[in-house]
Amino acid sequence: MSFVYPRTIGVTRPSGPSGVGAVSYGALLPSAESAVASAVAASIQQIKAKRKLARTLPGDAANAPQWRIFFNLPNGTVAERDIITDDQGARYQIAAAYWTALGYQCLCERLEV
Amino acid sequence: MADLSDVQNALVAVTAQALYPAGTAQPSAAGVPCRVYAGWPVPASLDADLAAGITHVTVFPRDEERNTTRFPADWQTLSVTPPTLTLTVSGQTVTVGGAIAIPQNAVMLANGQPYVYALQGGDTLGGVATALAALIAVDIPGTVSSGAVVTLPADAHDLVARVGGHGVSIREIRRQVRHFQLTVWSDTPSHRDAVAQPMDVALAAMKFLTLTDGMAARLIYQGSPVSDQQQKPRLFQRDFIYSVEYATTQTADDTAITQDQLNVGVKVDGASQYDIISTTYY
Repeated sequence: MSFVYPRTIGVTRPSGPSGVGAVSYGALLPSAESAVASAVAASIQQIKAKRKLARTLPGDAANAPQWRIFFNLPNGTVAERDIITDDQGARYQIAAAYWTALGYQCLCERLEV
Repeated sequence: MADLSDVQNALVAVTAQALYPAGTAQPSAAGVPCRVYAGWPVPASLDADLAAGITHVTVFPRDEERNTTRFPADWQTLSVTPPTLTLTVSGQTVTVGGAIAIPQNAVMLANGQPYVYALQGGDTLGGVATALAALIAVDIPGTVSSGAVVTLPADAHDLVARVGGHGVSIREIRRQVRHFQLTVWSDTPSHRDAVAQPMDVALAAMKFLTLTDGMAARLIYQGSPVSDQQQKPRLFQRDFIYSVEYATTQTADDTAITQDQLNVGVKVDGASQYDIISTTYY
């Protein structure tokens, strides 16, 4: 753990059914994700909560924040729609995987009900 | 029981058969690889597959639904499994034969009383004979077994042996019409058309789907919108909308009746209950 990257994340990539003909159910399932990177030091920062939740439960907050997740991996390692799981078990979908010489700066949405 | 997912799976199977009539080891009827499944595409996989020229066909139930329940919920026989065990009466002996399979009941009537042994996993023919002999010997001392043969004493009378099998009953407890959407996701209009055509013919030719519970579901064409709206990301779609009328069913395991019981009773005038004075088994 460092001052700049105080958190730890793993990155997985969703995959759909394989094969031809009748294949298995199509859905975004954690069990069908393949590992891209693990134990990566990261910084997870909240940005403005302006996104409305797609479906809210009565007890939910009205808006959902977006998150920027910074980490250092080679360019091309992660892609949009990859899933980031943080050290507390929260899952995020990468909406934009932006790479600079300092590493990745990913705009993410938290995957929650 | 038939459920929404059974209809979905049946539509997947029909579509896959139409696209791969010679099996998935052979090229598809459309000439392009096709994945057919219930649910929705995973976006990243769909992007990769479209780039590779692979077409997806998805099956999903739409929200439109109508309750069309109109038939009595009477039980009907769905299947009967004949007994594999045999019991043969000869004089004062009963020979256990055939093959052990569960569930089955081995039944003997002797001196007007029934003796029922439910076969257990791991039973042998000799074990069934021993179990029956033990049940009968409680009332008819001198009943013994040797191997697969039960021998009753000479004063035992009215010997009858029966084996009861089992079956499955089914009843329709609800009926509904639900719309299902089959969507072709292709990378080019020509691939979309090549995949859609054999699907269209196969579905149009099919009036009823057979579901896993043995019931038939009525299939009626509702429409087929085509969309090129997503052509910028190389996606060409065609939907087939079908209404499917299917029954929600309930099944029950049944055991064959092996003996009847007749109670004869009297009731004193003014009393609330009958007093049973004799019981006869047949």
